[in-house]
Amino acid sequence: MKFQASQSSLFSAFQTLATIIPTKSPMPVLMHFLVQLTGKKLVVTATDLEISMETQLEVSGEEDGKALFPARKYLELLRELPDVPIHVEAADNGRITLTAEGKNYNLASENVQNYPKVPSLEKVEPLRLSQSQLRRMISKCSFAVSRDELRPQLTGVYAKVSAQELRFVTTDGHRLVKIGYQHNGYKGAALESIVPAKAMQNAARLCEREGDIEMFFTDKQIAFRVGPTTMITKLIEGRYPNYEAVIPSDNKNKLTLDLDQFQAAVRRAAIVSNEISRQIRLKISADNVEILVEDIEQGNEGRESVSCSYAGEPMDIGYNAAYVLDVLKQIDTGEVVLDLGTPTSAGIVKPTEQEEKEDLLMLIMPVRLN
Amino acid sequence: MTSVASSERNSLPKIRILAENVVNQIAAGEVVERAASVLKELVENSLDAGATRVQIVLKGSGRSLIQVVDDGCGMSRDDLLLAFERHATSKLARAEDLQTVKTLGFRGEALPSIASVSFIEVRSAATGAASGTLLRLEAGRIAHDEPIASNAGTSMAVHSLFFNTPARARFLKSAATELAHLIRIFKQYALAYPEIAWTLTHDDALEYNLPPADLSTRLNDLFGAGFSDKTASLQFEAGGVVVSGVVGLPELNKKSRGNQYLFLNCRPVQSALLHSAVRSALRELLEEGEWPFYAVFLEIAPSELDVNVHPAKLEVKFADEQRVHGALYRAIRSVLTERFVQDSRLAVLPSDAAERSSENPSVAVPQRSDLFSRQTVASSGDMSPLTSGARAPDALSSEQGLLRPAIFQVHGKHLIAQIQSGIAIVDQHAAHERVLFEKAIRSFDERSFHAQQLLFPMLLELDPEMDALFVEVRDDLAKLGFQIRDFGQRTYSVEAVPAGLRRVSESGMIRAMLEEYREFRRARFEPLEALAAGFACHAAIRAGDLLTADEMTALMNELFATRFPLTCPHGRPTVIHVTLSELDRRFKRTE
Ligand SMILES: Nc1ncnc2c1ncn2[C@@H]1O[C@H](COP(=O)(O)OP(=O)(O)O)[C@@H](O)[C@H]1O
Repeated sequence: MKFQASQSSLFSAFQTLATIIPTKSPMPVLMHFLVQLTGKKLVVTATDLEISMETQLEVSGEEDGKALFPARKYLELLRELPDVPIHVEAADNGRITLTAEGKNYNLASENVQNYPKVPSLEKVEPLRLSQSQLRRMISKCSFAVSRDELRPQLTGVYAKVSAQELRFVTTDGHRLVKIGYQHNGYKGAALESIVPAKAMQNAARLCEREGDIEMFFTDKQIAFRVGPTTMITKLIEGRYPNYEAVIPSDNKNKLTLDLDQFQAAVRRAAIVSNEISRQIRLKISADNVEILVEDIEQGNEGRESVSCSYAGEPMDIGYNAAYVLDVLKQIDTGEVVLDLGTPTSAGIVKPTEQEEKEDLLMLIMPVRLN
Repeated sequence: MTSVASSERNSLPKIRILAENVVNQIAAGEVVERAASVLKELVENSLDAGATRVQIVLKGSGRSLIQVVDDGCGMSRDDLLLAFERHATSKLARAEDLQTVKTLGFRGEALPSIASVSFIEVRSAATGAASGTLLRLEAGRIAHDEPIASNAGTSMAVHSLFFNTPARARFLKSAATELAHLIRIFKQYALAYPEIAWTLTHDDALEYNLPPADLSTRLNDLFGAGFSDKTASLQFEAGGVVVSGVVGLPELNKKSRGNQYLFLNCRPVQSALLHSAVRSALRELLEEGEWPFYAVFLEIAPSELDVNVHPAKLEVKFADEQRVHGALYRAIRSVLTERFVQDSRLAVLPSDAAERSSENPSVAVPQRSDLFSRQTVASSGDMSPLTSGARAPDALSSEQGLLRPAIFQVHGKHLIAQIQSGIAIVDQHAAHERVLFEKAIRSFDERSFHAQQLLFPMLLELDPEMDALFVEVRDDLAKLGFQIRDFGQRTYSVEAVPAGLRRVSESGMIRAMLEEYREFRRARFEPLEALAAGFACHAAIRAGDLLTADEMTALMNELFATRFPLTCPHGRPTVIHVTLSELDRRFKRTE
């Protein structure tokens, strides 16, 4: 295989796939790019067996072929080369040569025959969405993904697509995010799936420009396509917990707070809170919320008040300050609304006004006060 | 049988005298090895007699005179005569049986043995008696016996030890060595009985004059002013073993042995087992070839002991070695820690790098996405929450590196910190286990864990064995923050878990804890300790968990705020301390 292309076009193409390459793997071939040349079309693939990503670019091809490029060395070399035409050659013995203006580097590589089979895109009806919207949705829900490997379903993002709406749900059992978006139409099958968090993170990385992203849902995989780049991910098997059942419908105590004031106050309280439990306590009355914090072990304590508007019973409720900050960070309106039930049941956190076509709802579970 | 017995009976009187001399001299070889053994036997007798003052007079390193004068209960003439008969001891008669013997001597063979190889002069008067007795013995035979006026108490003077056993006499080492042994015996008892006044005179010079005192004063009187400040005192009790006394801080470490004092029920003993417990408890403080100072007192019910192993009564055996070892080990670990930390040998120093450049975080935390460095890290930007899970909020991080200590994480499992005396290498899992263990123990009283309510209660179905364990600890689990509902038929619903546990698999937690609990119970942990240990083991961060700089700092701070930071609940070390001198030595920089 022989081809020539500019440093910048090569680097940006390979760079897109870099996050898929595992840092450590019992299968060394996975730490390589699979590179295939047919005529002028160079197809580059990376996979960690769960997620695979492919991108294409045009090069001046000289000799068709297929080879593995050692990902790290190749990419770092590319980055350090000036933006000049680079001649790349893969010899039959597996060695990769880069030549550019008198610079010549020769890299050892693995046998291309050992590269695993990579899934291909199934042509189903795509859902088309603006890149910025998908990125926004992923960034709003990502924080609540669980890390409990014994409950693999919770380590992914629940994704539900229907004729009207795309919905993501994440939860770690302590908090939950549900974000829905009324898209412009989808003719494919309505499906529910659980997408690995790493795939969602990579999907968000694909959404860095103007323009749309296409999503292809099937019951075994989800694919994302932006321009010449396609990412396909396996899904997490199993059933997502019944999140609708835990969203309270009768939380009658409605608390509205100035976002900045509240956030700043919780941030201060968090500094003084116990390093492990991060517990803070909210004492809510008609027109103010008192934020109390006490770390008995270190002997630190603090309190401050934030004014609020509150319709409901006076309430004394404990939270993990880190969790409160996490949900507040997702609010884009000047004020935040908390619909509370009891001091031991889930509270709903919402912006005062939803973005157009969007529906964001978060749940936060309290910490029981002793 | 019968014929042998009757023939013995016929010739008994003569044979008896011969046999007695021989037997005594043989026994002397066993009990009376050297002058120090004589001193030991005499001192023990004085202590058994309830003395409050003991005066020791030595001449010629004990070869010419070993004399012990006490103000104890003394002996009547009859008792005195009896005392020099073999196996004549008043002590066994008083005691219920051999198992519960608490007085220091009980074999009744010391005095006849000593007497058989020396000249003895005894003066003794029993408490309340009008007069006393003076007795002189030559090689065990009574040579003089007269009533004298005397205060209550006993003076036992042993002259010309080994005069009739030249082989034994030749066996004695140099005078200096013999004296050192004598002094060591003296120090042992002076330490064990600080409430008693002691004097020691050698060749007419008063070497020691120790007024009644407490242990720390006694230490200073024996070893020099300020000595006890360099020790940490022990106070511990577990499973019927009471530990007290002191261990020396590292500055008292010596390159040679001789400063290790171990007492069992106030009797000096030797025990390889107990010495190894002390050594392993002190391991981070001992460099190779160093010996620590310690004066450790163990109290254990006599029924748990076998002291009858050697006539010199130095080696002991324990019915339950592990428990005694464990108690001593833990006693030292727990107290040492406080001193160790005060000592600030392990205080983490701020990084030198932080001073040089504050914008460059001095801590190289390997990131998951670090492989393609610059671009990748930058572009991961706001998406990092996907991988970070429930981490401390941004507000809590001190990215400026202002007060940041120099701590590095290596291989995702060890933390390396720069400390005053060198470097500390911390096992992050073991360290966190220690932190959580102590926190859990506290939580049983103070409920320091709060209950984080769960959105999706977790179902727990237990087999009969696990269920039995579960029932045992259920109430205590609640004190750790678990809220558990019983659905019957060994099925439960977990509705809340301890708040603030990062990186824990909540769903597997209770089952894993129960398994650990069972193991710790088998290792004889108390139930609450076993539960706390099981909890800590499972809730702690693991090898492979990448820590942020703040998490590392917090972990180090929490670790050294524990009572007992040097080991995890399993007893494995949390910290390896490499001193600068060790580093210099390894780099061949020592002269
Ligand atoms: N200093 C002393 N004061 C009072 N009684 C003594 C003293 N020394 C020896 N005795 C008595 O003599 C007995 C024999 O002593 P010894 O041969 O050392 O055997 P043991 O001490 O093992 O009983 C003791 O049991 C004790 O009753």
